[in-house]
Amino acid sequence: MLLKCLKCGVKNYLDPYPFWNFKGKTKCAGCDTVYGEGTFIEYSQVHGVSRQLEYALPLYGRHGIIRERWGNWDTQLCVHGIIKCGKSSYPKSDNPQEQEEGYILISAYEDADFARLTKAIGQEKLVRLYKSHDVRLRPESQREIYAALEAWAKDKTKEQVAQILDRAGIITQPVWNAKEVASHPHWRDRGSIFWLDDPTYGDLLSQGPAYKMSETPPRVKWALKPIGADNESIYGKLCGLGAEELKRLEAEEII
Amino acid sequence: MANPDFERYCRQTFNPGAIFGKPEVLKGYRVLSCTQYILGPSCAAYLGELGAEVIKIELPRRGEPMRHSTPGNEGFLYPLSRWVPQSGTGLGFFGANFNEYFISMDFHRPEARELMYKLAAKADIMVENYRPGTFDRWGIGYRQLREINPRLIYVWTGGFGGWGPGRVRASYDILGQAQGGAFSITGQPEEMGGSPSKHTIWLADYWGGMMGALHALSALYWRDTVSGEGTFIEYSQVHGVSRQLEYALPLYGRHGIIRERWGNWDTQLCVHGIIKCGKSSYPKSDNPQEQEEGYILISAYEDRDFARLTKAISQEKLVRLYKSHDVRVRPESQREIYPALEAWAKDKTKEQVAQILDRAGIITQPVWNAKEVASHPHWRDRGSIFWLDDPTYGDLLSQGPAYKMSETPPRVKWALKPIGADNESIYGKLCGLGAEELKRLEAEEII
Repeated sequence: MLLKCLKCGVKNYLDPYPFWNFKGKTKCAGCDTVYGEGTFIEYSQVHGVSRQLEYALPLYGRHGIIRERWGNWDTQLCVHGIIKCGKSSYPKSDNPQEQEEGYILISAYEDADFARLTKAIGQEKLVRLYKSHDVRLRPESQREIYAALEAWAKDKTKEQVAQILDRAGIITQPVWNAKEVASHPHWRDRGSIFWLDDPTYGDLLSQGPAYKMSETPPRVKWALKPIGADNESIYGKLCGLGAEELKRLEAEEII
Repeated sequence: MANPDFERYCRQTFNPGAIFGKPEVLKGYRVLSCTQYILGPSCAAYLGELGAEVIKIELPRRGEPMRHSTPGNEGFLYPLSRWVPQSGTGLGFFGANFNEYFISMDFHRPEARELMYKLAAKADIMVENYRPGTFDRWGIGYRQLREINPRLIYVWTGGFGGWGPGRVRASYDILGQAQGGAFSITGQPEEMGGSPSKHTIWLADYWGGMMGALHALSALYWRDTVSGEGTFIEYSQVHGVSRQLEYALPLYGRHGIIRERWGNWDTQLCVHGIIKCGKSSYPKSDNPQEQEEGYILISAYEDRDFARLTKAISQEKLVRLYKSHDVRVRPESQREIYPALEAWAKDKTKEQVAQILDRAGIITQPVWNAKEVASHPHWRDRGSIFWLDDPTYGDLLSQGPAYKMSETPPRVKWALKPIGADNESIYGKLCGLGAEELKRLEAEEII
């Protein structure tokens, strides 16, 4: 085992066995820096949200402009938003939200894609009106363009809209609910959704890790367990507690 | 209960002023980022915040699409490059490429391939989010690069993954949220005039990027402590969204119930939602959304808190009507409780509501915009928002890492750089290219 000192660059050659016996700590032979120490990590969730504010802060800092919300459309790309279709895909469903009209994402912000989109919906005049992306992006343009798309989709389900636009080479995606997600073979094939044979709770339809790793794949072994289910094994293994001691600690509600 | 001693300890341990005097946790590791938009770039940026040497590789001259997909280029983050000094980088690029070195390369040119082999030979991690199999087709995918560097950890992120019946499509954050099921449970119900809604922030991208960094670090641990070998990591963003569907899948699997959206309220807790106040906090603002009435979160779902809340708004009868949480959480109860709260808040600003309810011991939080966030000392004190003296673009009000580390704190050194800004230093250092060769490769737009 080799430890290169970050401060002085000296390479410290370590025999793994004594290294572990020293509880993972070692001192650099070059400058006495101690390695193998833990770290205290501290986090503000509120500030974690701010980390993802994209360009809102520099925009405000440089220009004093406060970023606003823009619903299911996009402030930076157009067309790149969700529209309402006029017909439900499941008009006879018991679920009120399945009875609703469907929604679908349409993305066609590049000039060539936008031209194809307007042709597919029989509204070529939109290309003449909104030639460049800069023009399409303006709020007043977006209000016209999305309204035209919804008017065209008024007599269609989300699947019908997808079929027509996919054929025209436009990126679309119907808004899917949990049932539609769970029914699609892509998730099952990849092991991202599966029936978990949970040791405690039986069959559970479960989501799993979306990241796949070739050598050391992540996995779901069980969903959860009852409170204190592992008191005996964990306290026994790590704290050396026996049955009597465990019984007393549980009776006194210390554990 | 306050613990001033602990607060003092934390303030001293995480002092933002001392960050640059401490080591970086990933110093010495090199990451290649052949990425575009947000998902792939953010993965590399998180590693860069932790101190890795991240080399972002973009197409010559034009750079990656995110530089152009967003408005506001000319007046702000310019120059785009030394070839196009009159233009700039779109604001959407900001925040997803911190601390990176920027070089250019036309990946599919044969001469570029040789350069990529040289870079990969000296890299620890590579992040890439072109369509699945594209780099493999160009001879610079995981299968080829592992022959050169078997220790390489290769992270491929994309919409649908490299296999499966739905894979041959382009994807974006918005598509991931639409297909993955997130939109269907977000937004107001139709009875309130709502529809499925998207998040304004590209959360699926940023979350996916963060998880990519986590998996890359796990593979690094495996390589450096166990196997000595690299790993191929592969990700479907759409499935990443489904990973966060909470209880929607087991609910559907066991009972056949399809989870629905419930707007700014909560299906599991009540009161635990956002209400509209009747008055604007900034009626004279130029910004239309500041002129609007304010919004505020109120959380009081435990019996005792709910009793205090109803007392504060003089609606004690609500406690009698909705005694237990089980009763309060029912849709018909929520439809009564929240309107009562909004009726009470009708003549108040969000700050007035907060003041009254805070005094009653209720958790509240006015909905803040970027200005309100940036003006609060808590962010500045902790170094989570700061004025960055960027070497290229000057003063930038910036967000920074929210996680603090006692020994090896993450940091932001610069926001971004123009396309190809580091061609000379990186290609010189890692590929041994001299000035003449660089000039030729740039002229031929290979780099």
